[in-house]
Amino acid sequence: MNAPGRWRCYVLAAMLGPCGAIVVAQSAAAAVDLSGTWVPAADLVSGLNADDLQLTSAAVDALGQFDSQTFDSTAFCMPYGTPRNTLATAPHPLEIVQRPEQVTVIFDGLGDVRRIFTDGRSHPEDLIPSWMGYSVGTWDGETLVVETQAMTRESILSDAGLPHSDTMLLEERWRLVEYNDESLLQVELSIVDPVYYREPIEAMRLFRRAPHATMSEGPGLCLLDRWNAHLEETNRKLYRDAREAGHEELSR
Amino acid sequence: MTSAKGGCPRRSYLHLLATVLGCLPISMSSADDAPVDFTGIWMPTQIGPDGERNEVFPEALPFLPEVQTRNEEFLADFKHEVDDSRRSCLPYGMPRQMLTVAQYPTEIIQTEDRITILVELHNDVRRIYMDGRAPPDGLRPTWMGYSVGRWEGQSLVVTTTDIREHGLPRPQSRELTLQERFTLIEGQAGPMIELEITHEDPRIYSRPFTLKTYYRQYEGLEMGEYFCNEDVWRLNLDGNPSELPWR
Repeated sequence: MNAPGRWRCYVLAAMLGPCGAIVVAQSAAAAVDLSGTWVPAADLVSGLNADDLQLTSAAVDALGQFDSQTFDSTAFCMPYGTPRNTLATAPHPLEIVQRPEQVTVIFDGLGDVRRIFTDGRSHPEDLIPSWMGYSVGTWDGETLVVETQAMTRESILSDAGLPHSDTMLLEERWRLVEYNDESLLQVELSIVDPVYYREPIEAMRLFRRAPHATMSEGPGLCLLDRWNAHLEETNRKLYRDAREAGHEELSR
Repeated sequence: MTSAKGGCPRRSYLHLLATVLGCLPISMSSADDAPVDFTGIWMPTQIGPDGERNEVFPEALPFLPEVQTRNEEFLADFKHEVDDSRRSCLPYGMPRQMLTVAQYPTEIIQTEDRITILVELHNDVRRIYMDGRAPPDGLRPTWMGYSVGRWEGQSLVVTTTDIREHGLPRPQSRELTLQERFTLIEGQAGPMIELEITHEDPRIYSRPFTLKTYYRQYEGLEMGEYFCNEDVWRLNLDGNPSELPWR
């Protein structure tokens, strides 16, 4: 049997399978439980590299002007934004809380929380761009297919400042995979943003289970670090001033 | 087609079988076992179930005399504009963010062995473990503390310890233990959560006491994004770097 014939059989199987009807009737029913704490398997994936992407001239300009101290939200204890939160491979855990009607992804670090609505809704019209975007998910067998719109252009895709527009479309496929005898969470991302990229960006991320990882108290700790850094700088300045003012005991 | 009579390959029958098996729903919600499901988006309210105004702090708190004196000295020199931790974008911490009546929603997500509370204000996350564990020894105190919960009849009872000590808006020590009782009730405005929070902190208070607040639902209420530092980020984008040293 050639390929088209096979496909007909698969389609038939899917259509006749009682499950097909159930999946359609109850889009909320999930076949897989993704819940738990996971850490990025940075050793198994490669980062986004501008040299590998089909940049438009607008993207080249944006990269040329990028200054991380001004345009990287994380330098201000602000969130990564979607999909940078999912693409990031730094060893910060993420936590998935799964219910039939919503899959919630809590990222450690800066307060990114993605809500993936799996209750059968579609994207509202006239969404206001936000840091997390608006995500709607459907189960395709054992794969959670997530479509996200309205991610603010103030977020970037990578530490190097790869830009994106408000009209970027993101499609992800979240599923459990076996990889070198490990059971991993795989997220395939397809990013379509013709303003900055002539071809869709295809990326893949893998995550390992980390049941004992502790989620930190994200933006608060980031701000506390800045406060402590400020105190240290203040102390250094007081020390310098005192030494210059002739307090010799400080010169030792 | 090379084998018109061949029928479908075995793989497609296996595929069908797998599809059917894969379709059997996996129970991953604790709603089946728990007596009450608090899942939903809730808004704190000052209006009680009977439509009357609820005073979260009906009377003076039973501070130890020496704490009362020092607290008054502290507050005499206190400037809300600069000294209140909320100006610094730091979390409110427990129990403040559960007692505030500021109009920011709170999402409760109930799953097997866990109840997760996402607070829009300051973007805080609480994790309440329902699997019978005790708080581990030697925890570093955190703003949210460490919460374990259990069911008592129709009520969810949560014990929280290991909370960071801080002085605002009320002093609290690391010995603070909170016991929260969440009860689903029917009020004039529809389903409500009655939340009673019993405070026990022998270094601060002369006796335990209980405060009560309420949450209600609104049609169409959604969780928004609260990134406290966004004002500073935006000022900086406009060429006005923050002069606040901590932000």
